[in-house]
Amino acid sequence: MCDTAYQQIFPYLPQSLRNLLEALPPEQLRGLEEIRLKPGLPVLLRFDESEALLTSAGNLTSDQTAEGLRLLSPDEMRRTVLLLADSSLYAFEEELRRGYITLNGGHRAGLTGRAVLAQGAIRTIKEISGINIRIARHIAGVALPLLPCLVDAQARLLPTLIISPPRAGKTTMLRDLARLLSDGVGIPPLRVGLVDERSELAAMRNGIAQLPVGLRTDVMDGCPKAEGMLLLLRSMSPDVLITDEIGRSEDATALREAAHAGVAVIASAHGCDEAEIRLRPVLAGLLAENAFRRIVILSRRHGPGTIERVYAPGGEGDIA
Amino acid sequence: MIVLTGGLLILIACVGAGRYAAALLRERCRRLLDADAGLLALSRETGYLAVPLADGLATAAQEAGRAAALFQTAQDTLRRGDGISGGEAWMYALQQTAQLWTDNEAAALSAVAAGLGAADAETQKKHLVLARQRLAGCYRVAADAEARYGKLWRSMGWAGGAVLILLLI
Repeated sequence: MCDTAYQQIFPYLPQSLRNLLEALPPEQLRGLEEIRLKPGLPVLLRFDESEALLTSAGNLTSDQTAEGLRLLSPDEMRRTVLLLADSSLYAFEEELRRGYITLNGGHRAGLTGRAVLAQGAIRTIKEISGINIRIARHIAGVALPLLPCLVDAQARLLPTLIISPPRAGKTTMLRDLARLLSDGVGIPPLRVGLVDERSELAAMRNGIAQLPVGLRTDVMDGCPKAEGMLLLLRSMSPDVLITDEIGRSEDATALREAAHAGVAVIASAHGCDEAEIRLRPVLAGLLAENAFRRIVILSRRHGPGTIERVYAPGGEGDIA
Repeated sequence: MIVLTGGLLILIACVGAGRYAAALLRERCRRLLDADAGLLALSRETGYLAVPLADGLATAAQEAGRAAALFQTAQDTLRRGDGISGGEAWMYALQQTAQLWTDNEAAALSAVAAGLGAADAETQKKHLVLARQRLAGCYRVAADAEARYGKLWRSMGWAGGAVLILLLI
């Protein structure tokens, strides 16, 4: 996806706002990561390393006290919600319950508002008070340098845990790994099972993956990780399972099940390093069992997806 | 010969007018039945199948026969609209097709607009059920009018033509 990925989200904005954003020079919008909308407040644009507010004159400013900031009207907020949901909120009840809507192109709109509860669980969100449109970026080939580190001497893929803090490229790395393994770039093609609980990896919309995940990738979308992994194991005979942000005991059980079936799992977890991960009992247990043969540490040091370290846990030393 | 031809033409014209008036009553009943079929399709598409509203309206238009214009206009408006709600598109379509509906029928159909596309599935279904119930009431009135006045108009066409001929002769 190119630097103009942000243009794909303009149709989801009301015309009045769209006109202002479309008039901005492309170089000002380069690196745009998020658009945050709240009724009665200025439109906030978040970039790689900075933030800016939109003015009524169609400029960007970082001064929160500046005159003429473009405030979002309640009607514009309502229209944005309808545009995000194709004027069909009833068709997005599950997405509203989860708090986000996946958009064409794999972008995502996070929603906040008044939660309606049923039996203690969120049934839906009403009176939407905040929208955060996050622009998805697929960086083709970002996982290419990583791939040789994840196979053994017999070219078999090894179970891998990718660790990184938020916004450091875990999802991008997992997605690109799925694509490379599935399409057989660098190694012979593999059948990939992708469990995409939060619709971030493949960004499925109407049954179509909005981001490239490879020819031989089967996607279980919106499915709890453990159930999704077991389901794929039973029904799709994958060579490798990929999922993000494991941490529950059910995930560990599914991971062990996959290992017993001879299927490598590539998973991710929030954290800065292995020590931080070991503070979480389920992950500590998995590491103690040697469930992962490779650990990858990512950061944002040179942009999202910077590979800091690849190593084999248990003292085998750094691979890269 | 001229008198006979003139009389025949008068009779044809009067019978035609009577039949036309009766056909209008029959047409109204059929249009209401078709509108109900469209609403049923919309309810199915948006409730059970949960398809996007514009697609649901397009399918409903295909199944709505004589009332297709209402659903089609709503769909077109929705697709063109800048974050327009389903209710707004529906009310616009109702205005654009006002010549098809009596005031009562338009009021019954306007019940569809409440929350269309902007409410959860359950609420939307309730509004559609309500609209169909009100439309069923309109149909009963229209069917009653057709039963009462349809035959009357047809008979009046013949009788009126005959009377006019006799008067002119």
